[in-house]
Amino acid sequence: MPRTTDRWLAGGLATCLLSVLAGCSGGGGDPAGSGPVEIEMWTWNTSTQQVVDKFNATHSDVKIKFVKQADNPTTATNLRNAVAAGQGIPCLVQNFGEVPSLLAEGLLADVTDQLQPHLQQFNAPAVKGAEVQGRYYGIPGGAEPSYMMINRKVYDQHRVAVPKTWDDIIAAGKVFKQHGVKVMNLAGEDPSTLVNLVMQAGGSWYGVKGDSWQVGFTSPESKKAANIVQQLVDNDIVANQTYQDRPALIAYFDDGKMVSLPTNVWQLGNYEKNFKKSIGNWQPIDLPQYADAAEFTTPFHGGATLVPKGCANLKEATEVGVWMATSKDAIEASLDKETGAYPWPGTIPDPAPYVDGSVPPKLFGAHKGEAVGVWLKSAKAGKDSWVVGPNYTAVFKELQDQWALAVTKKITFEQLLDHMQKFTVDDLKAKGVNVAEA
Amino acid sequence: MRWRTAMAWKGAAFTVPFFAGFALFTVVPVLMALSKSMYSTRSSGLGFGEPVVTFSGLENFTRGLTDGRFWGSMWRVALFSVIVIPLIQVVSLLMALMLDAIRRRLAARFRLALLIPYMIPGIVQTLIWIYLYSPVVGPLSPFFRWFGLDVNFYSGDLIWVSIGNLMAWGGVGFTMLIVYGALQAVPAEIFDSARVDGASEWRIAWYIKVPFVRRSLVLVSVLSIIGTLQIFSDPLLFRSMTPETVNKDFTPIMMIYNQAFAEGNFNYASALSIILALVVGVVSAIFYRLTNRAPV
Repeated sequence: MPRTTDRWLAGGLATCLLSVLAGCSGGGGDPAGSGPVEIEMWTWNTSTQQVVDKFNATHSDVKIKFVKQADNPTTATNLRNAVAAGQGIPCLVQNFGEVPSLLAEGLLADVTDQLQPHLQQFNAPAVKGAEVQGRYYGIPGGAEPSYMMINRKVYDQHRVAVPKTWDDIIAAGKVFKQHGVKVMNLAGEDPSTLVNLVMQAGGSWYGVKGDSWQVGFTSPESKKAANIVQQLVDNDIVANQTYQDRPALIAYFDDGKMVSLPTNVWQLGNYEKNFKKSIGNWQPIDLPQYADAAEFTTPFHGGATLVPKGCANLKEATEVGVWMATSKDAIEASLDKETGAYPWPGTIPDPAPYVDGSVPPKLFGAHKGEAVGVWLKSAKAGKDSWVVGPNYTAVFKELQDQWALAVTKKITFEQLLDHMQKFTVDDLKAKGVNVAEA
Repeated sequence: MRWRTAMAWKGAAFTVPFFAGFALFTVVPVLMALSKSMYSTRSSGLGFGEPVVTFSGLENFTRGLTDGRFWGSMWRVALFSVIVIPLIQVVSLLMALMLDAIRRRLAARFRLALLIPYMIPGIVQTLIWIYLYSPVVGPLSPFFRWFGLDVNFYSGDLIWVSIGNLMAWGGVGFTMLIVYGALQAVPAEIFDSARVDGASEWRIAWYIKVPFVRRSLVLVSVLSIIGTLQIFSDPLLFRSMTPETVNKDFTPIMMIYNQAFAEGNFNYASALSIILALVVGVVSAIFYRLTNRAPV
């Protein structure tokens, strides 16, 4: 009897092994037959489901297959694997990086011909997010307006005027410092403040000259931006709270010890829900400007919904992507029923009809009525001077490390820029890409 | 003879599941990594065209062997290992000896309690400690402040202490259990005769028990060396809290991970992995050679 059991066990094991082996080679068949074209879409955003449902309910020739991904890095890994394997490739993927870098990795399909007829449905700066050298490799995703919110109560308490320029912020910081209050927060992992300041100055870290890249980390615009951040750090007027430890961060912001916060519309729900002490004290204000700015400018650099290389139905994928980004149906389906807010429709020329619901009821207290005006003014003033090079993924990782050193005063921002200039040029050369010495 | 051969084959057949798994999940990936490491992906022009994969021989290895960042991370982890591994072994040994000295039923309870941290998945362990260490919401900073000490577990000075403490917390139970198991196997007559000869409990512990568990200690030390040189998830999570201390190339595996999955540079990542595997192999072999002599 035990012998038979052994045999069964061995057989079972063998079957398991065989099925593991078979699992490696199977799967991935393309359903290109009769019936509607199926467009597989990957996102880690659960709310997309509502929009997908709306599409599938209103379209019969094309259907979207929604595949939920865990998060940003997992999506990136899965897509790289799928493209490398040449099978199971989706047709639309939520943006997880900059289009030029992903294109340089060989991950994206050229959808210029398919997208061209739809371009007028997008606002002008949004279109740049999907463009590389005049060709398009995804569906423009747009951007949210940049603005700032300040803890007005603490500002008033210490008789500090509402800041209009970055110099005002630095001056305000010096006053707040005497009371143990930080004027802003520069998280050690997030160099976006520097990036946004360079964009606001009209600069870019990459440019193309002929058939070569020009790297601009040491450009006047970059130095102008670095000068502002350097003053913030040197005067000890900023905090370095990480964004990773959310409960700690929210508690800190709520405490009245940090009083100005460049932010986005989508983050407001979080503050509304979690601020206890400071709820109602905040005021949305225009993003501070450079003192010598010729006109009111905000950085606007959009991304794109990616169309991966290997997608069999580029035309349908583009149509689905455009529908999701710009159609009335799609925007209305994206409504968050709990909060009554639409995700900011950053792709369409006029977002005005969809923004009222995004104003949080309590956070801004008496200043609630100012929010929409601040947002729309910012959206209108958005400029995208930002060009991204093919190695920006690696460059950004390096920048994060350098940023962490600079905000903790281990290096200066000038040194950061010099280091990044050299790193970027060397890295491009190592990858075999043409670089013109500045 | 034929019957014997048949039986031998039958016996060997039982190892097939292991070897099939080993081949599929270890040998094949190693060969694939080896082949990947011999190639390089290069672009041209503005870098947007189809990248070309070319055979580059040992170029990636030369680059890896001279890469200051990689070796910097390697030395950082090596230094950490030299301190933390012996520490964990000594603590575990002491705990095993103490457990061995108390009554069995009582020991069983402690054994379980001490093993609980080991049962918690590594990521969860790290999350628990990240919370405990947090200068903002964690309880430890206020605790030390109570004594007038301003302790920041995320600072550059303390980060390795923080990671080491986490590793010890998670690993001591396991090492102790192995050592305790070895102690249980020591024939009781030896202790009896030692006691008859008038040896104190300290002398018994040092001259009889410790030599008997040496092999087990060597085994867990080798496992610790392998594990520590490949340390990854702990520093990666610490990085999210304190990127100004833990940079992206903080440990060898973090650098490899970053090359492969953040920058998409699989060729170089493969070469670095192979170099790391060789280093781990050589270090473990040397350690094993030096320590695993038969007990005197």
